Amino acid sequence: MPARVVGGLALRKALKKFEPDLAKETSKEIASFVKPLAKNARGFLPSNEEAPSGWLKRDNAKGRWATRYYDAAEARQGISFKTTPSKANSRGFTALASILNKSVGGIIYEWAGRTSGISGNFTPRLGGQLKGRNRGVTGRVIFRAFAQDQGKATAGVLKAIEKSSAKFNARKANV
Amino acid sequence: MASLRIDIASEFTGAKAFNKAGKASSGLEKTVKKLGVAMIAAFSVQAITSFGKAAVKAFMDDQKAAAALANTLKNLGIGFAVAANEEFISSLEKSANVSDDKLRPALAKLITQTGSLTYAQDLLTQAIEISRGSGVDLETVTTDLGNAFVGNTKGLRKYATGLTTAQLAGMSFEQIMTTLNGQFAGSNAAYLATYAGQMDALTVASDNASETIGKGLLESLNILVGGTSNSIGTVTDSMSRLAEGSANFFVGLASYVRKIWDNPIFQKLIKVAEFFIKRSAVGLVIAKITEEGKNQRTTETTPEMTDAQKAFLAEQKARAAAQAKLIRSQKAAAELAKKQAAEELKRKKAGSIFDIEQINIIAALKGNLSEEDRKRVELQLALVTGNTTQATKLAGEIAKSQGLTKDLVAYYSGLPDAKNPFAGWILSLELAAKLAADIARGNYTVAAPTYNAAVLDTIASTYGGADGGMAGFSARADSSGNVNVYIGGSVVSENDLVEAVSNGLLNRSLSGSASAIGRLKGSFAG
Repeated sequence: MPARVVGGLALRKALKKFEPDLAKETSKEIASFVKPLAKNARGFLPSNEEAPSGWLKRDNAKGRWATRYYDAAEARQGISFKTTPSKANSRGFTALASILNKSVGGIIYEWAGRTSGISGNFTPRLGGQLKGRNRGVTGRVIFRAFAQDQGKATAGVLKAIEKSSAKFNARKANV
Repeated sequence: MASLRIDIASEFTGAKAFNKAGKASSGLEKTVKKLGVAMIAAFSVQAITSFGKAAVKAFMDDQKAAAALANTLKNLGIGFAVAANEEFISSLEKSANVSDDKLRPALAKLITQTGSLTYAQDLLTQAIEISRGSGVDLETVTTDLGNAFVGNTKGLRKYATGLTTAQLAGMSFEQIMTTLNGQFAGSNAAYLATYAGQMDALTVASDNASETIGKGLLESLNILVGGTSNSIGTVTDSMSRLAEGSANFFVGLASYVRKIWDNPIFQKLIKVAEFFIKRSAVGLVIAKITEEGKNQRTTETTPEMTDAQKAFLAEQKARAAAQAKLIRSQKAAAELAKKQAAEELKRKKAGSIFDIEQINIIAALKGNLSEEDRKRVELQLALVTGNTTQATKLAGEIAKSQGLTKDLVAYYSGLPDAKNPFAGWILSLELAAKLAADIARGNYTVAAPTYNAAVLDTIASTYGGADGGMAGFSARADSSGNVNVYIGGSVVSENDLVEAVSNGLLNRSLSGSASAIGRLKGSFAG
């Protein structure tokens, strides 16, 4: 899914060190492509009224599901984006820009039924088909937003990196 | 806390799994080693060729720039300093880490502007400092300095010297350089200490290496073809000869092939070979396969139509005709509808005109009209609106009014003609003459005026006499009808009046008043 970039990390480091203004400009430009994705993703989250009632927060809840409740406000807050390089993952890849779904309720809503299918009492109420041939999308929130974007954000981020690289080189050549 | 993440753009940087990947790739490495060797060989040749081309180009560009600078120096009459200048550029390139490709054109520009090699060299050193300090490229800086040397300081504004355009214009070139040096001195040393500066040093070194290799390549090529290392002429001659030779070879080869093909012995040999091939086992197999292929190939034929197909086709044609007829009738209906719409539009237009007529009539009724005109307009309105009762009534009234007008005309026709005021005079004079004759003959009696004598006496008794304050008041007529006229003041004769006026004028002219002086003659009037 992610586009692979070569030298992007070195460029960001060099920009931060030698051209901090250009580094900021690059971050802003990347944000301008990723931010709409996050905003769109927030729109896919259900409100508390739409979510299954038993899944909402209860004050005297105990056990495993005491912390795995759904709260629309928290879920919305959990959708965010990052334009700074991340730590390398287990496969050695560092993300230059990413979109995140951090809240527990948000993650469950995103992926519930991905492995076990839409069955039982809970997942059918969330809607969507995440498993099998008939699956529409791979997730309900950020993955859905990313799929709807059709790679425009990725293209925009890569273009922003290329643009900043060209600017950096031009400034270097002028010296 | 766990989170879901979509990475928009990623870069492989290596991680813990790198070792694992390394082990896996080492196995793969063995497998592809042989292939790799071959590919490396192929790619190396390509890479070396590309590098060689770039190196030769870099050397040629460098040579070109050096030649141009040397020519500039020769033109200025300081051709003897070419070698020394090259040494200067070489040392400056090393110390400032600026490529000689940039230094030579910049120096050439400064030499042209200043006319002095040593001064231009000093300026170039300072220009590098300014370029490093201001971030403006060296070529622009040298252009600006060259312009400033001849008095054009417009370009110096971009260096943020803190001086106004007028101040810069008023300063000498030495003063400007002192200001710029004070501002940018030491910039180059500071820049070279940075990462970017060190990168530049590497770039300059690699460029020089490339130029050196390019030079070596050209020299080696020259040596290969047996020429001297300083001349490329031998190489070009050899290449020309090679091209000529190649062309001749291919033309000759083609000519021989054609001759062999046209030779009758060769043609017979081919026929013999064909005969034996056809009768050999391979030839027979080929013939059989060809025959089979020929049979299998589908031939294009025009199929004959069955009766059912023909009927179907006829039905289709009939349907198409019916459809066409329907379309025509629809078109006709559309035309008719269009025509009707146009007529409706005309009617509406006429209706709107009628409305306008009605509006005009109502507007006229609101105006100030005579009674008869008002009735006429009301009748017109009744006719327009179709109100027959009102129209009949108004028509009768107008007719009556017209009858009254007839009577009036008859009356006025009895009066003397007033169109010519003098025409009536004769009649009036005749009447007056007749009256005078009657008076003279005594046939005319005038009735004595009558008045209320009692009222007059009361007024006389109230306001008359000394007590009433109206001593001059007296009755204008007595009871018998005699009228007495009393005139107040003195009555003078005409002669006395003329005398009095003459004396008055004489006295005035002799009074000396400015207004009495004659304006034309400047003398006293009178």
